[in-house]
Amino acid sequence: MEDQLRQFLARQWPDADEVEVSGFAVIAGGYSRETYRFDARSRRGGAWTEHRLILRKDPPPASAILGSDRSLEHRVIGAVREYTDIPVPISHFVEMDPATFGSPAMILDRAPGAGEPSALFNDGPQAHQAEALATQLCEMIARLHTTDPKLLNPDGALDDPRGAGIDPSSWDRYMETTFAYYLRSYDDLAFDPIPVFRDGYLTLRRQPPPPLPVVLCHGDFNPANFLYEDSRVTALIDWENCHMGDPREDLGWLRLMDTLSNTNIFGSVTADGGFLGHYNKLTGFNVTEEQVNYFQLFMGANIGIPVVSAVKRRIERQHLELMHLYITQPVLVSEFTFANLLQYTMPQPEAV
Amino acid sequence: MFTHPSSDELLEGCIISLQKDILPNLANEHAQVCAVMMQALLQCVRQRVPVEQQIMAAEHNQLIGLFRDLEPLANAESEAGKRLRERAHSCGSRDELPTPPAFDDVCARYRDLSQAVVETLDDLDALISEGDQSAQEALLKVRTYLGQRTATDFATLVVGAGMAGRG
Repeated sequence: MEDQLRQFLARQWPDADEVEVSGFAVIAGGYSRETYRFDARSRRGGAWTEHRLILRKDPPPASAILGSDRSLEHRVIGAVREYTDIPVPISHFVEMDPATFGSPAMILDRAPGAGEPSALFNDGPQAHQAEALATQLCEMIARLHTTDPKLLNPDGALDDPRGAGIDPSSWDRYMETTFAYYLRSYDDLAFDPIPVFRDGYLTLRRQPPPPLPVVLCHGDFNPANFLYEDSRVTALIDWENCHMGDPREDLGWLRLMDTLSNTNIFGSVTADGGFLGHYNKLTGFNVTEEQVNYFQLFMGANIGIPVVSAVKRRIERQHLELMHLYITQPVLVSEFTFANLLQYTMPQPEAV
Repeated sequence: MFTHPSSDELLEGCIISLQKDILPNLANEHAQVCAVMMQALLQCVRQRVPVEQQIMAAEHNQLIGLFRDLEPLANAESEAGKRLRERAHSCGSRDELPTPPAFDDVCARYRDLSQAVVETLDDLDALISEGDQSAQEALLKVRTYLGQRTATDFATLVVGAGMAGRG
């Protein structure tokens, strides 16, 4: 792969006299894409330039847990960099021809900092950074949600990136078409009867919250998708599920993923009475705890549909990846969380 | 409880991953042998789990029959003879165990009823949207059952906290 990267970069940097690639290694952690780190050097005349880079490429379609478009992600990262001050790594190149790297891929800057959210909570070694980082994340998502969507999504490509029939022309249409997508997708994901999920989708449709403006959502705003260093968020990463939607989706997903990841970003903000108070002050919205709970279910469905569908394909032996069997663990925790959100009468477990 | 992935599917997944993801990356010969032993033991569990209760119950009942057959043959008056007679009588007079149903059969029946709950939720949703009060009460009953079931799943199947590999 190092040689393929060297040849590709040499084509992208025609002014370079020489290109070297080294240190190619897989990065564990991202569930949806195959991600690798590598270093490149380019020489122009007598001067060498060092590049710390990431190769982010699609997995085989059968095992993909989020079917998303690298070129779209490349473009949205560019727009977020241009129109907001949210720290996002530069996406240098996108290569959609699978002949080059085996599948569509992007090459991005490797941002400084660590992605170890578990170290920030539960008396972890970096717990002293949690409040500052959580506050910055709150402010970043508020900035994304208050940036004019016409700037970030000028051609409407993020209106319905999955091609699922979603219509974000108004909040009502967005919700109506999304409920229809969720309900018709249940059979694609049900690797076994999952009545709690079905009840959740039906309840979402019966009990919608009051509307908010449709904005650009990160779409996977979760504790594993930021890097940090010295109490500073250095990058908000993984924009592949970015889409036009209700801003509360990002808050609900963060809350749900805090539960699934055993982290507590949502509970670590103290400014303005907490994450929601701070977010509401910055956005002018009036999001309530109940609405965040609603959108935990809503985003659980949004990401659950492609992810759990990939689990179903594993059980049907369309691919043989271990990770998809492991994902049944967070599915079980999601089911338990949804049952609580739906206010089922249930005994509480003593410990996880 | 999920019928899929079954225990067998999870074990098979681990065997495949050991072969595909782990073994090619083990440089140490001892580690390689350990991984192959793990595969063998996991395969042993796969073969054992679906039948062990049925086999054990059947053999339990065969053992009772064996001791019944032994009792009339234990005629000796020596101490060993007495012990043999008493043991044969005691063990041969025990109650037989019912044979547990086949695992696949239990799974299929459970899955059918679970699917019926999903379909019931759809109908209740339609009725509630029409303002049917009894459907609301029926939904509460379904949710009470599902709450118990979900709590049992959580307590029985969830391992630890967090998501491996995500920092």
